Amino acid sequence: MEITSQAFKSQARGALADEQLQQALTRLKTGFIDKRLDAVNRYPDFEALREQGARIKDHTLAHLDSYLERFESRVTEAGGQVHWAPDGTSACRTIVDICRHAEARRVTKSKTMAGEEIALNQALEAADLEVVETDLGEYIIQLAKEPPSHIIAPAVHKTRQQISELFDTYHHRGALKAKLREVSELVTEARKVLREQFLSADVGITGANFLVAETGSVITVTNEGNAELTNTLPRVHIVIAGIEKVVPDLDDADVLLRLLARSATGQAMSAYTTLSSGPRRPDDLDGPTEFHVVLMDNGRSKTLGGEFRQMLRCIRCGACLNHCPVYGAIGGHAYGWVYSGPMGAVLTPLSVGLDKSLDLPNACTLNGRCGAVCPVKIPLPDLLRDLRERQYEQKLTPSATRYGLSAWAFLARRPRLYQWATGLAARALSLVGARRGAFRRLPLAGGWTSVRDFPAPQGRTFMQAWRRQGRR
Amino acid sequence: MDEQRSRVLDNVRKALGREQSLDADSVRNAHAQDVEQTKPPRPLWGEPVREHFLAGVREAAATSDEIAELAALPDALARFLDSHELARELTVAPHPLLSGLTWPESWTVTRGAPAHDALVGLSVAYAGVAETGTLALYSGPQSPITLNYLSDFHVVLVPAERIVPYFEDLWQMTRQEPSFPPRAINLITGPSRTADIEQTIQLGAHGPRKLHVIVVG
Repeated sequence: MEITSQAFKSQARGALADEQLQQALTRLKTGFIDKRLDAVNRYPDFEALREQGARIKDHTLAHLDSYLERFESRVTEAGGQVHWAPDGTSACRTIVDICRHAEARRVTKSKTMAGEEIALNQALEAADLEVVETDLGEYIIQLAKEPPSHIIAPAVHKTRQQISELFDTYHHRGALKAKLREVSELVTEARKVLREQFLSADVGITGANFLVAETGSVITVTNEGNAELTNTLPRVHIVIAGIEKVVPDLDDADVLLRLLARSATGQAMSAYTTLSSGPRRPDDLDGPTEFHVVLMDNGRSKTLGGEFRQMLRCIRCGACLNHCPVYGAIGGHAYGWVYSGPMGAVLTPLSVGLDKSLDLPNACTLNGRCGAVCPVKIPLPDLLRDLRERQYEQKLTPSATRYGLSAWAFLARRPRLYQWATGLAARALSLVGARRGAFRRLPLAGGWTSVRDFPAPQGRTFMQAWRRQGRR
Repeated sequence: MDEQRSRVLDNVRKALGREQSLDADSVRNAHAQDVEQTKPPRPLWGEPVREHFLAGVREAAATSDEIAELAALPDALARFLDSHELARELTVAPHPLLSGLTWPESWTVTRGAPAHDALVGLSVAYAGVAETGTLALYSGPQSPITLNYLSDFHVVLVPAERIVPYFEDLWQMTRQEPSFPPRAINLITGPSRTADIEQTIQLGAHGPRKLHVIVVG
């Protein structure tokens, strides 16, 4: 997809002014957070579980080559086929080729962020394939022709009114005159429409939550059951997965599954967790006759060898988005690519380039909540800070900021001068503003005073006040 | 194809600072060292395993019933069908456990994979997992997977002796099967649901609207 992360600031402003979006986002703030907390509190020692999750991921990443090879052998033994894709283009080409070879016309898809990452739908449509998303949220945004705005709730930015209108347009040709409908009615209608699609599809494409090296199994997790219909009904099942998705064995997968659902939705277990291993066996009564797994690098090996390796622990639960005040205020689209929130603010610069996503690492208050809730303990605030440093080193930071920082650094390294200068400034500001208590406007601080008042110092700096108190 | 394979693997190895993968023993030892030394906590409960399993089933918005022996299954099914005002018409998994069972003559019972519009399906679980009230279904000639997803009402029979405490226990059982891994293992916890419209949980998104678990024994 087109990357619009450069326009983050204007997109964020637009999001703040978008009433429908703001209405949709208020709902997000309570549900996910409370449910996760409840699930975590019910667990004997969630912190120890998080540590184990991080250990499993770190171990796997350190032996990624071996586990990928083992996974490949097991898939082959089960009668499936593994394809390797160094980048998004080759992944799309491989998948299109498999579809062509199968003489496919219609493809159903179960939600895959890896697929979003490489704009798989456009590639399939360009090859004259009819593509239907089957996760309800993904289906809604496919109708709206929008990218997902949340990893696990792609249509979280849409209100019921907007969804009623979309269904009216696409299912009833506008006959319902955009009447607001009940959630149950909308879900039932989508179920009916999509059931037809499932039954007539030639190829089913799913993502993967985990790949198990021990058994060559692809694990998918859903609440709707759409991954299962996608991987059972069509003749061909294709899996697209990032190479970081592999885990050593089923017991390791258990630990990560215990973390995933609790962190994502607060469930102990999502409704459907499925292990797919190979095509249907000779005496099976159903299932696809072909099973393909596309293992995609697309920048991951570069991340593996660099200082941001910990980011590859990510299991795409969405907890960091749910707990981020910036995400909560502007939603996912403002971030300008498929991944949003704190994980997106790290992944986007790593994937599309720091120069194309300058604002993302800075759109963060460093409150630390994302790092505190991450099920695999990715130090997201540290990584965001590292990206800021990298921007500064690569001279990507705007010059005004750079000069300001240099001036501050010059002072900060000279404590006496610093104290003298801040003391002077505090006295001066206090003389002018102490009576009113705050400044509406200040030279050089327009960015601050345009949205809030600057409190006026009351005469002394903190250091001066501290010293005086110490003397007493 | 092979060229792409070596490009990906070479880049991974380059990132890890080695020219070829470590031998299997070294990886096994590293796994033992890095991962297996710590046993992370698992969910705990006070009641017997069977009770906890049933509590999990109900918490996941499924319903449950218990029968002492298999012969009581048609009666239990009749209770379920009546409670939802359904006709006595169902598709049944061709599972050996059910083969000796005689269904009342007035019922319409089809064996095998379900028709696309099948309303009621009956499967036999490979096992139940008490930790989360999860059913494990193991694909094969005895268990068509479409039965678990196409029917609106899904009834699953679980032999009591096959209820295990944790997922690790389930894998210990499956690893003993000659057919392991099967094409699919479905871990099912409650009926299908979605919260994609305004975060409102709605049952019956794509899979069954109702899930009914019958423990036998």
